[in-house]
Amino acid sequence: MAHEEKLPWELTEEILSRVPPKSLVRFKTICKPWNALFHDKTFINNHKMTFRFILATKSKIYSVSINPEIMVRELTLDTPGLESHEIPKNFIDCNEFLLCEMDKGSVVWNPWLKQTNWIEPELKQTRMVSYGIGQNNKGSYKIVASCTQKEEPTKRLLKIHDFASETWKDHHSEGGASNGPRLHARSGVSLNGNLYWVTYYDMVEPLYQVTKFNSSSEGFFKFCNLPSGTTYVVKDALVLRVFNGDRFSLLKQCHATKKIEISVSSKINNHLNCQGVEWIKVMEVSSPLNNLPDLVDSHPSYFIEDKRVVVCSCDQTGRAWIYVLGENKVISKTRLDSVVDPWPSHCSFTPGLVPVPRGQREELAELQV
Amino acid sequence: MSSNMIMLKSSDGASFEIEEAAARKSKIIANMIEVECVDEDKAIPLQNVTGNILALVIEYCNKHIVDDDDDVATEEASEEEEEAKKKKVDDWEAEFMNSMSLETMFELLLAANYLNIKSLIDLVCQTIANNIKDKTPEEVRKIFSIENDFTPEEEEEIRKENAWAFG
Repeated sequence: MAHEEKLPWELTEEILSRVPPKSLVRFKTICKPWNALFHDKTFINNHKMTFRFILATKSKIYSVSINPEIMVRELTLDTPGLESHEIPKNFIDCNEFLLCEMDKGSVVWNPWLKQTNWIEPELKQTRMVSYGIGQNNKGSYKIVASCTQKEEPTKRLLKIHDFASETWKDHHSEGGASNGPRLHARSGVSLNGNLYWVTYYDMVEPLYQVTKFNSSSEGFFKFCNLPSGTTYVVKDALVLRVFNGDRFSLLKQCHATKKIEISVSSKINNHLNCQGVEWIKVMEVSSPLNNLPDLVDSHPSYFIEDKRVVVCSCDQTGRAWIYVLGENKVISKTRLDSVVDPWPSHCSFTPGLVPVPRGQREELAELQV
Repeated sequence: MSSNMIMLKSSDGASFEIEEAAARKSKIIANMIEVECVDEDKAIPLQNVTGNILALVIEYCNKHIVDDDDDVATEEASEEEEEAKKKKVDDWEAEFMNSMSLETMFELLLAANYLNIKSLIDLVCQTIANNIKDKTPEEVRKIFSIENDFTPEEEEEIRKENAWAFG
């Protein structure tokens, strides 16, 4: 069967960009160049089955791909662990994974690999709210969440779930969760394994900052300020994301003027202190005024690529749109008509071949099969 | 539409007559026609394509030139008609690829690449992808003539990290 003539590399890439992601995971062991290719973001983004946003209505989940034409596909729930359950109430984009909040517990989902892992809450916990998935310096994953306990329903407790030991433990932060900074959006951004949120303390005249959770030391602390002039204005859109794998990006839309600004931080490494972070405004879209998208749900999902910003947001009537923005222009606006129910929840998604983290017990069980 | 015929000659000396419109599916041949490199009495020599593969390429081009004409003629066609037509092409392509061995597919892919026929490259790549997706890494190495450059330890490490996909 062996093919005598070696196939040119670009043709090999063409073929592999059509092989389903789960098969690619197995093909990592074929040879080093293939394994390296599967870690290459450009290859993953050009893969024919790639998608960049997930939307969920009450009854359906959709994926949206943009390369460059916009395609909406219904995601089937034949993912083991999800099939018999309800549609997740909320998604948190943790790079290659999504953390899905269910009625009871949460599911870590890699929708590209169609792989899931159920995280059971502790028995006494109620109303679990998840903030993100981090990874400590030994490679072990952790979920940061909070819950109320049945005995004290008014008090919120911070909880850390450790994948290795499959246990939840209380996080004893100074003053407890209720006295800590307030989250502008609860979906945490994961960078180098640590988690970051846009937060503020003062309700009267709040100044935004970035709070960090160090996944290794399990401590929370102020990490840096946002670009100067970023103060709290009701209804402004303000969304922190990871850019290029090693920086932050910040999308801001002023509710009054509809002006959209994108800023990018300097490189973030784990030794950087607060003063070391600088922000540069990389894009501004302020005209034509009548054509600017109105990101009314105030937490638009977006990603930046090739000097374009691709945004997913709902309009005033709850219909989902994809906006492609370039330097001071709206390149395209597309209403996602196939997403029928109004006000879908949405998040950006980074497709990748990283298997969903599992507990040690499960891993042992898998190896013995 | 012109029904000029041109001649193609394979690397093993076989000659094929093909409608110019069909031959233009190949960007390379289309370019040659544009710059008038094509002598009407002489066949275009294709050094990298054997006769049996060239016959397949021509079969594909002939089929698709007809479809492209239809597209222009029936721009106003209803959605159902469009869909029916697309299905007809899909069925033909499935049948066309189905009769081929993997080895032939690779040769056809190289020919399509050499002649620069984008839609045929897409079709063959997709068919090969479907063909290999359930195969073991060892089988895929054979198909692509790849040498395993991992040490057994390295291979085991990747396998362990991704145990779920090997189940």
